[in-house]
Amino acid sequence: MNACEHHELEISALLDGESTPAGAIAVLDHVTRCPSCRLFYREARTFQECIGGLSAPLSAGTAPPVATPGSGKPPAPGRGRGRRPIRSVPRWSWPLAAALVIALGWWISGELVGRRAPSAAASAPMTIQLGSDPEAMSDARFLELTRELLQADQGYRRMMLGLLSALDRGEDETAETSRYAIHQVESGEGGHHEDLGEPAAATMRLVN
Amino acid sequence: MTVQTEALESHWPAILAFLRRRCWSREEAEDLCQETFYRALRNGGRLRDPAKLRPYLLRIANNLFLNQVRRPPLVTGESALGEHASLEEHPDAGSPCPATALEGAELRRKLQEQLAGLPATHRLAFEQGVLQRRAYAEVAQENGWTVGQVKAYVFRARKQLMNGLREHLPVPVAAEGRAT
Repeated sequence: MNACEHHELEISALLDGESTPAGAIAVLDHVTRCPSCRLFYREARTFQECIGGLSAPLSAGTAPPVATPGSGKPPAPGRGRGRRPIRSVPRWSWPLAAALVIALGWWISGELVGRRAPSAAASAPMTIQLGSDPEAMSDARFLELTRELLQADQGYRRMMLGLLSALDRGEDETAETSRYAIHQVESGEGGHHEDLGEPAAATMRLVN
Repeated sequence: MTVQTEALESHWPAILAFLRRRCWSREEAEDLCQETFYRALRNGGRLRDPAKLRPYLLRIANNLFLNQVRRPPLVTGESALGEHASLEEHPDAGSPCPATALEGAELRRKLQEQLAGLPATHRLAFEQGVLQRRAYAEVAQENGWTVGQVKAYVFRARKQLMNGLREHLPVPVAAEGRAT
């Protein structure tokens, strides 16, 4: 065995991942300086890359059947030296990933919409039934409906309190009404069924 | 061993770890790591400042990795033309890569023929150590050989197969291109 053949032996082991870093550096250092070994190194690497794609069907035996399209399995994990696809993923992973992305997007959009917009029940306008005969509005029925309305709408209750105060003081009640309208536009209130616990005195005053 | 080769050796684990984080497999990273150091040694005269050795190696490694990702495989493991009706319709048609899928099928057939013509020990060592990607020590233990014997058998088999398949293999010219 001549000197170059010895180095070719080391190159062969290097391509199989059987060299230590020190041995690999020594071999590669020689390869850069020896044209013959450089050619062998290049040819051996090319050969290694080519058989890397063939190794799966060939490794089962010396005369295995040729793989049919789509039936080729990735090489078994181990100390492979042939060229293998980088960052390859199974075919089934792409539909799964797409489904996950869609589901995530649907969930996020649902969360955002759910937080920004009130639910259908909450945003529905309040309906006050006057009874079977709309014309039959008595004082008792009017007070009952007014109480129901004021309990349901905090902004409207404030406006009514302001209106009553203005009437008590003999002021123009339209100022209070317009102030409530401005407040509604700025705060986005209106139609919410909220009972925020207004002072009992105000409620009593209204009922009375 | 020169001072430069000793310095390079100290960076081997870091470069391998760098490539390992990028490549899908450890074997791919080892291949690129070898190629990185080969290119660094080949261009060793250009590097004057030892303090910049690691960035220099990392740059080579990264460029090699990017080249590897962009480059189509030399030979596919699929059968001759796959679902494509003709060679002209195959994605590799018109590619600068010299080995088309048709040549891959031919190469497979030739490789099987060549493997059948190898001495039994060489064929067994090559199949287990290269095609099945098992460690030399494991192959040696299983067959009652020494690691040195496995190394020699694999080398003999590889060299004989390379000689027998020379005309079917791509010419390794593009690999000498610069990666830095």
